Amino acid sequence: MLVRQSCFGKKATNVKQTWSKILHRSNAYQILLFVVAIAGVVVLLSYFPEPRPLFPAPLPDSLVLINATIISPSDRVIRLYPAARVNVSFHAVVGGEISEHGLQVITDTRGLAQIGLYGGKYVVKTADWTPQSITIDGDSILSIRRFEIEDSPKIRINATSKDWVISPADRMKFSYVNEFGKTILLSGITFQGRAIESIRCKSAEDLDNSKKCSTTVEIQPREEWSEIFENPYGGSIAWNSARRLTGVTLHLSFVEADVMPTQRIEG
Amino acid sequence: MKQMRELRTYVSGVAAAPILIMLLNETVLITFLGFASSLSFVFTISMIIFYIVSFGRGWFDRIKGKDKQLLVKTTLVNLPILPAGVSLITMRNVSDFIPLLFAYIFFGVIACIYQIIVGGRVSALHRITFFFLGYILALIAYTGSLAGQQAGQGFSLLRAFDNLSGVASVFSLIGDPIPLPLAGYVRFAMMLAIPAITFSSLAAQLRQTEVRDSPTSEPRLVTSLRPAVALLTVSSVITMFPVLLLARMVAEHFPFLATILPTLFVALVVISVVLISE
Repeated sequence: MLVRQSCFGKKATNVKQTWSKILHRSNAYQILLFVVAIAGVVVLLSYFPEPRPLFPAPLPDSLVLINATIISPSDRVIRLYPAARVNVSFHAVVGGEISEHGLQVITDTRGLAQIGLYGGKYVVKTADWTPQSITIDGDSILSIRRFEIEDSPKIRINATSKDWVISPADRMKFSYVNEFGKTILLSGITFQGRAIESIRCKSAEDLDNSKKCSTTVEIQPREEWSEIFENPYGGSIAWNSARRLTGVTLHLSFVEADVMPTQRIEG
Repeated sequence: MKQMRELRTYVSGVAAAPILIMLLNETVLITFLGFASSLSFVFTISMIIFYIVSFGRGWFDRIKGKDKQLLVKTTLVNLPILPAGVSLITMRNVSDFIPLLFAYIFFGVIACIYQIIVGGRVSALHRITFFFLGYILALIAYTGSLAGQQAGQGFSLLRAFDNLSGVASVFSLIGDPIPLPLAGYVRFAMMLAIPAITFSSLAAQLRQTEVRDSPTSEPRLVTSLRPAVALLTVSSVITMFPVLLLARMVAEHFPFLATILPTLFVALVVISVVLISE
């Protein structure tokens, strides 16, 4: 009996020692504890409710109604169209720098749109129109008007012969001075309704550089724009006829934007 | 390095993971490189590096008198503020101040990470404070860089602080936080970091006690009590479960109090139980 007891006692001591070893030295035990702790935190973070502020975030303080129109000459009559389905983006001006990403809105078929903005300075970019700077201070109506103009350039002929006949290989320099007092956009050049390209765009090396050949050019106030073209007639013409060359049209536009404060109707 | 032989150093490394994710990413590095041409940024970094080198090589110790040492150290660290501050006050020009602030935030986070991982003589409270501070500064650096790049600026301080107000929603502050692309990774890293920082802090407290008794001794106490520290880490996680239950109950009616109220309540109960039982 005594022997049995001592045997059991020995076994118990061994078990105790083994557990003590496990609890105090075993790396596996420590790693297990750590894994349990991580599992606990995973459950905690997965089910922990998201705190929300007591009051909802306010909407931007200024409601801006946008009215975009296009004023275009047609058959010697000025016509006014709504600028339908155009992107209008507002880029905040912070510390003199214009933000790259703006708040965007698309006008409806009547050229109208509405957007909520915080008060401050913005640069408004409407489609490919010239950007405009505005200041928003409370609810307002923003009117953006694009004036489309057709005008003739000043033409200089660079003749390659003294024949007083302009051959198809001769070149013409079209120039135009912006007298409008604001930035204008040259969006195309046509000859008798057909779009023409400058010789720069026709040369092989420049074909790769689409930026250089872009037909849309901004002309600053009092700035002169000029470009060299091939003889748009495509055939030989007499010098006298060339001097009275008609049919070359520059398609120009400029944009005006103004902000008028409105009273918000409460109720 | 003695610390590199210890497990708690590596566990502390895990604790620094969410901070490292927010600091060492493409967005922050682009902002960092973007400021490289700014004179105030370069000057600040040069001063900070000079300070670190001087500290590491013991150059400050050559100066006689603790007061003079402190004066030199403070001057070195604060000198970059002077030209940028003058420019800000006199001309309201923030262009010098923002790179300077970014440099301080960036190196502030690195200092916090250093203290979390290898800080030899920091207590549990210090380690948790460094973790919290490092997390907040890294969040400012990351959010500011992200918002700044979206807005076409280098660094947007306003948006960075606005994002922090999301943390302060418990006080009903209204913020306009921006979604962060790395939020999922940070959340995952936090799952590992919470037990890691608990373990690391407890180990740091033990080590500090050991160092106080015998400054040159090997870290035997920490090593021998490591299973106990691991057990305490699990206990701390288990203690957070009542917080979760309470938070879910509170969130139904008072979602703005879901974070702070249950935590404080459970902490108060646990401390009271410990005090009464002792």
